[in-house]
Amino acid sequence: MLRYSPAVPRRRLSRRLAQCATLALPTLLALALPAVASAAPLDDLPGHASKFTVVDGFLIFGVAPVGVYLLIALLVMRPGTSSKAQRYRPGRDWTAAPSWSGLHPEASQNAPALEGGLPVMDGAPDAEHGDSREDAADGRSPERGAQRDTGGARGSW
Amino acid sequence: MAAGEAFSFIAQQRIDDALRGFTDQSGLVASVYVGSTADNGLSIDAFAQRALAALPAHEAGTVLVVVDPGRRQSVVCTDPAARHRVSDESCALATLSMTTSFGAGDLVGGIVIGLRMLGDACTPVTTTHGRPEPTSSTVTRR
Repeated sequence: MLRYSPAVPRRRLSRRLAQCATLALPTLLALALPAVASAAPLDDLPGHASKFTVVDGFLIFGVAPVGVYLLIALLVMRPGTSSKAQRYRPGRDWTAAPSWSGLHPEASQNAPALEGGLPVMDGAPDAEHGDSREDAADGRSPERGAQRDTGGARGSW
Repeated sequence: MAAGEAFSFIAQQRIDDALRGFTDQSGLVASVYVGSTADNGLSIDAFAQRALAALPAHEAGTVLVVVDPGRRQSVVCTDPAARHRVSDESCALATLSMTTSFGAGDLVGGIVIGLRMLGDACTPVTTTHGRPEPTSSTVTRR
């Protein structure tokens, strides 16, 4: 009858333990040496308190990290750093303020006409004419016939 | 949600660079409007026509790009001077590319691509001798 033993063979186990000990001991010694070396000169300093009190530990290991954390948090979250620009997501409402780039109507002499709506061009449609989907099927603006001088195209997504 | 800015500083810079490139390439002047066009009950076409009429007159011609993310519609509108340089078919192609980017949520990229396509499709100005009039792009680009 076959027996399956999941245990690690002794030979390999002893080898692993030896490897761990070989690596761990020098590492621990290397980490401990600076602490031992720094303790002696500090004790020799005049007026140096050799006792590391609970308050000292609290200040060094508690207050300092929390202070650094709060400082970074304040720098990150301070007003003005976050982008106020609205990210566009198709299908959601667009609530950002209107944006003009390049020429601006207010720079024109027609600017007074903008009060109460943009000025009407001859032949320009209004809301009653609507924007028919049939006209948009060919990707061209439906005002081509009415506004023969101007051109362009319209699209939707 | 309170109304914020439409674009970040970097995005606005990209649009401005695209507008500058379009003007350098074609000699035309372009303007981009992004926002709601339905405030006065107008269609986006009527809004574009009115906005184009309200823009400062430019001898070479003016192209207006209107994008209404709320309506999910966009219009490229050319004035009579610009229409001789940019055909309606070129506008339709640019609009198609723009709406493709808009549908993916990339407003700035769509505007930049549209302006670039309009600039590429712009025909050079021909003089009485039949030679194309050098624009700033033909002068600077070798």
